[in-house]
Amino acid sequence: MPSYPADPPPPPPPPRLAEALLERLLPPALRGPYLGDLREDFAELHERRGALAARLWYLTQVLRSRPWALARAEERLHSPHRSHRRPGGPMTGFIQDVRASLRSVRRTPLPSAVIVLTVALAMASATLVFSIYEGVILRPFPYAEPEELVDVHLVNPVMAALDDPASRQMGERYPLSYPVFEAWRSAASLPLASFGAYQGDAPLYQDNDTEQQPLNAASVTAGVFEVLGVPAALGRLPAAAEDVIGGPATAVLTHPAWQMRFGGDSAVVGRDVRLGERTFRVIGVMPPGFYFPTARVDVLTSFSDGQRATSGGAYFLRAIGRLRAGMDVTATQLAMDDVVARAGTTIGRGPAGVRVADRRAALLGDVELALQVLMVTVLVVVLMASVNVTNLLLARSTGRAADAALRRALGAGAGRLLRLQLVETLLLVAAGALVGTLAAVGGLDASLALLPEALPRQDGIAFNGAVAAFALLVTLAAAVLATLAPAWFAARSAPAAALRAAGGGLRFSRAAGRAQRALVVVEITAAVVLLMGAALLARSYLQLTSVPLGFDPHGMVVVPVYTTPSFARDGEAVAGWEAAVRDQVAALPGVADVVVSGDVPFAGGTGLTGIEYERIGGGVESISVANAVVSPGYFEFMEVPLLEGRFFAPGGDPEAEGGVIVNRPLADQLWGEGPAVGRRVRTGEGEDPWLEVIGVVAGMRTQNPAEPPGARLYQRGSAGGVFYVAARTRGAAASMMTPVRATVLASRADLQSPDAFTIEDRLATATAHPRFRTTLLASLAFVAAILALLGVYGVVSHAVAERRREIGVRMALGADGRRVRRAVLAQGLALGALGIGMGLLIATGTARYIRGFLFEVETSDPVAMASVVLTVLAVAGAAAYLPARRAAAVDPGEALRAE
Amino acid sequence: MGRNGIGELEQLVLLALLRLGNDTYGGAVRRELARAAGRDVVLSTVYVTLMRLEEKGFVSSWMGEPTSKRGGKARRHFRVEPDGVAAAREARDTLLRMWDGVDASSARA
Repeated sequence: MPSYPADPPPPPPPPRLAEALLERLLPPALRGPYLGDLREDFAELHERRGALAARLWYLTQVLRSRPWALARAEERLHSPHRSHRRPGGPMTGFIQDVRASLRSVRRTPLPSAVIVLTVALAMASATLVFSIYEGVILRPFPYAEPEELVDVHLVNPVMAALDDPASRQMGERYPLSYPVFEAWRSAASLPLASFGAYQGDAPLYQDNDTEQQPLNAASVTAGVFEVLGVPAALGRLPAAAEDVIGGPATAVLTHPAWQMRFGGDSAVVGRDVRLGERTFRVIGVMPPGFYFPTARVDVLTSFSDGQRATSGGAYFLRAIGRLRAGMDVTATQLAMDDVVARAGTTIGRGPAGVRVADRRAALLGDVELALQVLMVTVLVVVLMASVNVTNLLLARSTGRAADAALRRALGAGAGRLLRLQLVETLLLVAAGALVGTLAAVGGLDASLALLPEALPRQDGIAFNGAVAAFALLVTLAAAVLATLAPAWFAARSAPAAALRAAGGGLRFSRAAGRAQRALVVVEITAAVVLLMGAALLARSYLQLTSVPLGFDPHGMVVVPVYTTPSFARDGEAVAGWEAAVRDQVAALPGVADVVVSGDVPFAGGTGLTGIEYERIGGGVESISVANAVVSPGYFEFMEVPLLEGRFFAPGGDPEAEGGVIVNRPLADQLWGEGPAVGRRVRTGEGEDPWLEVIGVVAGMRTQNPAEPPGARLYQRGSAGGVFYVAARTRGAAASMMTPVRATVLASRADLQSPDAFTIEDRLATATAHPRFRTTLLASLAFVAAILALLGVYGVVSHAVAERRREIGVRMALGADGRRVRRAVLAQGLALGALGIGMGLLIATGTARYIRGFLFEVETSDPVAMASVVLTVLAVAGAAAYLPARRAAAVDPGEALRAE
Repeated sequence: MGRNGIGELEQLVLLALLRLGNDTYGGAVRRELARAAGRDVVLSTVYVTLMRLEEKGFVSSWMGEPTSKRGGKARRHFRVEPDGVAAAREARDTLLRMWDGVDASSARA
């Protein structure tokens, strides 16, 4: 049997701690050869000169080894483009930093990807919201010195004193009549530099060219152009001398209309265009960007002589003026009060006042506050993203505390470490910003579709230089914020601590852990505040869209019809036409029911009439009420419940029937809770006959679903110049708009009809602002929840990774997996609970900013609060679940060996 | 320093490799530098220099087998390539040319 020589005794090992430290620092490819060489020499020295000398020599070797030089040499050796430049140039340091950062990113692909995603989410939200804010709020109006522009309203004190909010609003901003406008314009003491009027709430009229997109026109006085102070880009603007009875009919085109309808042909000046019943001479084209009064208007025309010559009754003008130098809105208001008093302005025979208001504030309305809330919200989201990035960097930097400590021990200054960290952060944040900005640019059009049509100035919304600059600024701020904390910990770690740590496996410092958890609690707090806001708005929106309107809006198509005055006065002709058009529309397939009426809900304005009524205790009192003229069958068609008495009887002579119907709010206002049927009212000023109340119907919400039904008096008859043909359809109402309108227009040659609409569309428009606010805030809150989820996940999984050895020991000592999992889950839920507590406190404190947006929801709404609490707990639990499962699956043996 | 120029330490390491013959390694180079040139150089400096030479194509390297004497670590072997020999020779020639004509006594002073 051959004998084998026994293995020689293994040589004495070098100091374990020093070798382990060096092993971590060396580039992987060099570890074996380098440490092996040192071992050989160590063994030889140990044999020749003893243990102490060998150990001292080994320590010197470790301390004087330059791992960074080795890593660089190694890197250069394997890089495809071998660079022979020696370090030293100003760019070399930076390039080295970038390379080091890229290496570090490659080593930690998941946290790096999460950082990029986080920044991208925040940047996309910020860019979108800021694009909207910039376009709507910040971009200057396209007029000279826009801050000098004011709206000048007539005030109807009778109407302004009514309970109904819609009436009150109308009374405080009543339109002018042509005589009132003329009286003020010609007043010697008019305190305005310039003054003009335009057709306000009346429908735009369109040309009859059905082949092309119709042109929308609005009438303006010559003074409007003077007020706006924008010169024509082509041709000229109307002169004041032309703006008189018998003056020429002129038209000024906006730039987009000129481009789209006239191909940008400059020969259009001097040409005639036909709009509605009238022909206008085109005299000028406005510069690009100009719009007035809204971007929907394509042509600004002069008023007709008929409009200029109207007597007292027609209140259809909106007036604007330019402040005089040195006069503010308040001073102008006082001076205008004086003008109105001297001119003896009245509305009908009632009193009248005047209101001067900043035009910008009036145009933007509550949109400005809503967008400000959204801007604050998006800044919170950006800060949350910074916190997340900080946390992720912190987790990585604590994992490399020994690494940083050794760099310092080897002479790397704190400045150099900070620079390295900053470069790395900037790289990640820049990548995220790029992705986010690209996503925002791509998603901008889709988001614009979400904007309410009534949102002013939305055509100004675009991705532009200011938005890009903002994006860049946010990126830089986030990068600096995200770098400060990790760099502070990196620069602070002392070499001695790192050496200690190397003995027992690397631990992240307790201070860093505390900072991380605190940041995540702040993050959850922010998410709770945003979710709470979103939940309140969502609840409010649901309330608003499910509020009973008092009638059935489904499937209703409405065609407004304008008739000639001579036709409207001919009662018999109107009755005949009504019956005919009703039959013709009812014969259309898909139409279930038809009514022709002087009023439909959500059609726009409210008529107002003065009435006298018999009081309960006797005597007569007069007030102003909103009134509507409707036909028999109207209430049945609308499905308005009858509360007392009866509806108007079909057929029969309206004059002979002589009754009126009141709605519940009006009955309550006039006669309290008692029965209203049989009581009497009369319109006019005491000359008309008394009319008996024949029925009481429920109130309808007719303009804004958020406002309770207003008092209303219903009379039977024909409304005069305006009718509505309303059809209840069986299928989709939208597809029936064209056939119903065509049938109506074919029923008589002298009818005009602007676009048909559906009640459901009008309702959607009326709730567009809340929908916009809610959707945007909910999206931001969703982003915030995701960021909080990532934050909790990052912290808990990092803590589990750090405590792997401890968990292994516990499990080796008999702790079971379920308990470990519960403990880790509890850690995540504890962070969530802390954040929820603080978040609800802050949400309660800040809720007043959105109270104005809430409809029938309290800021302390328990449903909203409960859903937020459950959501956040679920998010925190979900975020902690994966790390908890990983912790429970730790193999004790493996965990201990790994160290 | 140009593309083909080599520094003093690089020359010394190249010469040590040539003296030790092929199949030598970092630790041996360090000892040879200490023994023959009287230079106590840290191992990391030796490695950085070796890798720089390798980058220039003057030496090549490959991994050996791990041994128990080295705590189970493998050696990284180095060999001088023909370009390296040429570079060492050129450096020597350059020095000799420069010494040629230098007065021995003034050089000693």
